[in-house]
Amino acid sequence: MTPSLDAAVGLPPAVASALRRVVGSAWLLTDPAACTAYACDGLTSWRARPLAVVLPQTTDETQQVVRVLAASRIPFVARGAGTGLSGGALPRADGVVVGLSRMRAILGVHLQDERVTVEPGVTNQAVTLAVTAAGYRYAPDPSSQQVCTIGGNLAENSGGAHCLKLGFTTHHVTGATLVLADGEIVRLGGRALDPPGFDLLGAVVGSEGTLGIVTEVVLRVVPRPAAVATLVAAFDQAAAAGAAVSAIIARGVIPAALEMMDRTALEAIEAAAHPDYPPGDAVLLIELDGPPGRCAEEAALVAACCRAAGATACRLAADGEEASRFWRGRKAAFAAMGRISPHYYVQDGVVPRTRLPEVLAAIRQLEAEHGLRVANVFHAGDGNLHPLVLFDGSRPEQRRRAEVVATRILDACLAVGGSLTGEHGIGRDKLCQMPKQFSVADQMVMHRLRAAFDPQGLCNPGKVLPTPRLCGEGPGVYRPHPAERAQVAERW
Amino acid sequence: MVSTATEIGQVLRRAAGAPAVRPGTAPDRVAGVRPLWVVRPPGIDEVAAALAAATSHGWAVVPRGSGGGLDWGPAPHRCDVLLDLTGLDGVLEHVAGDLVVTARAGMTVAALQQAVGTPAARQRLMVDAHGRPSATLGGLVATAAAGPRRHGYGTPRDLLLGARFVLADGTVARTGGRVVKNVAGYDLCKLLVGSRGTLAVVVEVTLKLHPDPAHHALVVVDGVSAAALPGLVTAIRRAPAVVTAAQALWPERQLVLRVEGSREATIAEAGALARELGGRVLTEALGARCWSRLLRRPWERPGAVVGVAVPPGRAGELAERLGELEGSASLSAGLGVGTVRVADDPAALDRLRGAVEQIGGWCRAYRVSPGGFERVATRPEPGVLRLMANLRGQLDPSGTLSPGRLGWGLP
Repeated sequence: MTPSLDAAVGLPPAVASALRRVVGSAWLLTDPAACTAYACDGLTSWRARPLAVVLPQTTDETQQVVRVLAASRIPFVARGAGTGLSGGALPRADGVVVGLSRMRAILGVHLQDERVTVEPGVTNQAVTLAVTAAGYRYAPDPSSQQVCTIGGNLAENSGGAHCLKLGFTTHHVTGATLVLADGEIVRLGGRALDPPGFDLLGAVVGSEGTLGIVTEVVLRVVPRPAAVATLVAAFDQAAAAGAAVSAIIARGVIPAALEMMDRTALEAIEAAAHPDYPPGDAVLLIELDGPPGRCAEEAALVAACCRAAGATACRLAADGEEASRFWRGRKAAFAAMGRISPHYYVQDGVVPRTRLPEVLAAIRQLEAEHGLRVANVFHAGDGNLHPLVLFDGSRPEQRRRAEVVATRILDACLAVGGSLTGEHGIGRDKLCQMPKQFSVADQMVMHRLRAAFDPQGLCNPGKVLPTPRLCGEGPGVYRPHPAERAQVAERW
Repeated sequence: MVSTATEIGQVLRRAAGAPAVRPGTAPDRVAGVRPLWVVRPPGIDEVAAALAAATSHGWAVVPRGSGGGLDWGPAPHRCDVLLDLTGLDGVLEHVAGDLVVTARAGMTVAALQQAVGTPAARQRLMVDAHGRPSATLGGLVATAAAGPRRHGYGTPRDLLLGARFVLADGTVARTGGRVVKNVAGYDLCKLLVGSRGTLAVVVEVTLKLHPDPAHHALVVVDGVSAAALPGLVTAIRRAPAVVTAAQALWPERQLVLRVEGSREATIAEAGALARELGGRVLTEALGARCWSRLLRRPWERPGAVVGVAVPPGRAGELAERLGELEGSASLSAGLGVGTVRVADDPAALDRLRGAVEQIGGWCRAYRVSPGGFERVATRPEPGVLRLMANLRGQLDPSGTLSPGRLGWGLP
């Protein structure tokens, strides 16, 4: 038998038995094969097998688990469904995963207050389903909404196609129970707004699981709109579609959703989902909602903006069925890429809306320079790009070029005053790019914020904030991580 | 470190430039505490230099904007330097197509509205700022000041996209950005909003704007009973109308709704809303008077003004208790938040807090006499207080900024 590193640096037996006493032996996984299933999240290029996976069922159990781990200074990462795309739930080889999948009860539906109280393992879609019959919905709708959990949504401040008008997770969470890294339980906010003291909840949402473990969440739900109008508009050039986006926003219309697909994306989408979009090099999918009269008025205004920007066709869905067909195309986009490329790299960056045309042009330029195709399908209304860099993974040199193109796209976003990420998070993946967006002083303040919550640095360490150990002294220099050298973590 | 007032003045003149420094006078008092010196820096560098000097000497600094909310909450333990930020004025960048503006923190809301509301841009920062157009942008952030249109547009928390700030030790840093969607790094904007100048001095803000609606109309419903309020709120939330304010006024028992949009949509929706709720649409002239009264209302008479928040469905219960509390209220009915005015005496403040907490809500002190703060403001739970103290300790370990202004024994 090969000497196992798990044996060498494994979970101390006293810790294992303490954890078993808390959750019961069925809910502590130490078997390497079982732990391997938790080695990565949706970004599979970063992997590390944790020492153990512990699955508490209550806030109390979570508190006790954290106390046991903190006493032995064992780092831990909370995990929901593992659909994140930035390696935010990547474990450490010397750490433990605290899985929240057993905490999936909807604790209360309070329609008079427009609130739903849930445990963190409840899926995003389950929240909407719990209030659909009453005419409400939970607004954030990340594309993984059928499986992704509220705990993960809170950690990442998730958005989705419909956050243009109604905001992100941070606008829809009014309360949370937080287990701090030393095991203290803090209740932040509740069903009422404006809780006393600093807006700690605002800092916790989007902190990528580095400030504590959330074990209960109070969400805001909103009434469904009275009417919805769905349009598609086709353009000869992606830049013209980008200009139409700015024009729509500038005319004072805030659509419920404003999505864009370029030629490469459309090629895959048409093959896979047959949404029957009008032909063009770029298509905008626009959803408007509100009172019926206003919806119709805005639809006319949007159509006029598209035509003025050079749309070759503009079609209003005649009924709900046609509207769902339009959406089916957009929703199938990522999966459809398999039709035109064996592999793709999903990038996530943000630009000011008015800079969309020039950034799209820069992406075209990068395609030509590096001989790779990039499919763009993204939330154009808020300037959130999701370029998919297509490559053939069986050719390592193509994979490397794809990484270069993905990084250069982010550089182009930052060059026009944008951001490294609009919804996927920094996680492990973009850790070492943080200095491109934030100065040393900016990062120092973030380190201090983290220290106020978790002075020992046990809660999801090695995420969000770069350290010399993880990123090297200077930007861009790759050095093998000690865990990589010890072959307990791999970099793909 | 002990310094005489003269020594402090000399150091400040060197740091911020002689013209920026003057002795503190009676009108400069902060909740009764008179500052030794007032510094009005012309730029960020001078803010940083003054703060660095103060921290290295152990002096206390209280930042201020227009002063509208300066006396709210507990008095500072000390105030060696009053840092007047109104010298940091002006728009730095307004990209109309992005609906985003970056401005210096000492600019007033009124000046910003003028700058972004040009006939070409027709945009607006959608905060009512407690009806004080003289409020500065930094003051909005520090106090989280909102107003009736919070119903439709949220608070400064929802509109602040990024900020540049100076820590007590003079470090200049930034958080957030200039884009409307951004999850890179921690969102310190949320912590700065409502932190009352205790974490950092905000010097620049990037704010989300909205298109200034071409038209608006007010609908008034009279004779609203507390028991009927939840039902009315549900009807408003589901009505086919874009309602941007839904303010319940007590004891008038009146509901004031604001509908905004194009002329055609506004007229149609306001009419339909009035019919459904048994209300009336005000004429433009009456509407303008009603709106400006609504904004001034909590502040125009003497008494303690207290911010309240309850679970939204229980706003009616709060309204019901107002009679016995002898208070008047202006509540954003759909959100369960608003202001209550009661007599500024211990018994009235105790009763109000008791009533609000009993129905699952909490109070914060706005205009309350010194000593009234801890009576009426809901005490954060111990874990929250500990995290607040930790944050203060991390960002301002010397306790330079607004010491004591958070209350609850915090530094």
